[in-house]
Amino acid sequence: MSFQNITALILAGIFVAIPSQAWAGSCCGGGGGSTLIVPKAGRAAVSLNTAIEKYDGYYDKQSSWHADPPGSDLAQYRVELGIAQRLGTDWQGSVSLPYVWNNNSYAAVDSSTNGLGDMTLGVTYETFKAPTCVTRISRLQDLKPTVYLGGGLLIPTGVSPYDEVENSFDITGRGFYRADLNLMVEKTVFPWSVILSGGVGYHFSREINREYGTYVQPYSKQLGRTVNGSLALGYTWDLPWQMTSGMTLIVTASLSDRWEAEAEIDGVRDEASGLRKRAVGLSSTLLSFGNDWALNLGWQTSRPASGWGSNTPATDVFSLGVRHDFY
Amino acid sequence: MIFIKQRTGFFLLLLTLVIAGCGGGTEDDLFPSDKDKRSEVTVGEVGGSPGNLAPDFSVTTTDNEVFILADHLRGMAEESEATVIYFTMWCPVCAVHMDLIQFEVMARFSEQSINYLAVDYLSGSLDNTRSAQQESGFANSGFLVAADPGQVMTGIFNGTMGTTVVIDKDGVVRMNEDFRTGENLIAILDELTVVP
Repeated sequence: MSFQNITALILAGIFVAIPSQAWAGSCCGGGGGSTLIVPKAGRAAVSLNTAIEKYDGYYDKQSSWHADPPGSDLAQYRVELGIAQRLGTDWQGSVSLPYVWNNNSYAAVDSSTNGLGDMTLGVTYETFKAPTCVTRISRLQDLKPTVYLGGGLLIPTGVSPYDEVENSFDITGRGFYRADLNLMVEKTVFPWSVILSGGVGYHFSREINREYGTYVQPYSKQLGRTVNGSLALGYTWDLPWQMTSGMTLIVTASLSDRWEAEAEIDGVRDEASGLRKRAVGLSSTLLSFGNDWALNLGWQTSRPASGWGSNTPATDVFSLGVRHDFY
Repeated sequence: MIFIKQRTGFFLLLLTLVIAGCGGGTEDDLFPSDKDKRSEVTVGEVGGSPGNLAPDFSVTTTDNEVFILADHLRGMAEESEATVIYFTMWCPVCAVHMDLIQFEVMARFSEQSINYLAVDYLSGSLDNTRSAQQESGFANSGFLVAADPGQVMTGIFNGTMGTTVVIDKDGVVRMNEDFRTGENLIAILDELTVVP
């Protein structure tokens, strides 16, 4: 298998290992898209990812975990279409658009709603001219990583509390534009790969004149700045069996952290906002014989122990996705 | 051929944007407005909006007491300065709001007679509500906590997560909005409890 294909596979693995930073549909907003990246030698990429996010209590502001109310069964289902297109030798653009189904059952209320999530537009700059994968390190230059710089714009195409909704169950988006700056550093010393990624985000202030469908006296609100980071470790196998001849499997473990500062309402700090969430994930990605198709299966949890979150629901995310690269 | 394939990608991008732009019910998010679109409220009309006369209601609390709004209005035996209703779904945001009410609002107005009623509009029974109250750390918190099995109060006040309602001693709804920072709640309670 060529290094070019390993890179493609790793990128496909990343897409599932570090899934979209989606939010609880039941109380905090809907899904936001992630960024799809085209391999260096690729022309375009398309992905379709599905995810089930199961809620399992929440972390309060002091990071203590609490169970959901008795008789509740809360889940969000997402399908996310991602399209990325090479715009130049080192530049590429992407679009990610999630569709969200909120499925919440409480003892007294059953709610099932759906709608578009928040869309992400992305542009990525590749700082390298060729993949940097090596099979062994024999000189200093072999340590050189692959570095991607990215910019993103989250567009509130989802339905937020400030739109035409009846209650908190209808929410599929947060309602705010956000600009992101992202950095991803990847290094493969076959068969091992390490991916370090991080980003910062800035929410733009907006005016609000209704809450959950009811018009209110207008006010302005600005969500806090965001910071996220993750570390992923991958291992690649060339599958040996006859029926999988030419196919490759990569298994990735990841640790990710996300933080958001408190919001401001008319310049006053909103103590009920802001969050911190840590998650661990495992994913496996199968690359086709032709190296242009990838199938992903992933799991991510933020519920190992108290202290892994603050002011956020605890969730398990199960994902399944397919991706096609055009060369 | 390559040209066509490359353009296909752009068309897919464009199509996605168009689909997103045409999504129903998102206009207020894509193009936020600062226009005040609240409708006029007829004085004396019964309802849950600010300016309305709140309809009487009764709920059983987790302390097995019955709270009847009418008992707390002007001239009645349990006359209170105000009744604050908070709609909770026992979520992280609700927990912060209830903490703020408990430790800031209740403390600030400790000398005044104000009822703080937390309405659990999801749990469906008093037993479930009692369990959720305990699990979330709000037992003995100063809140009267009630279930809303028939969604009666939720219907009256269009309640959802974080909805905060203030009713004065004349039964007039003085506030019905998201808790936000709590500043509006404190301002209205200040107004209602000021000594003439």
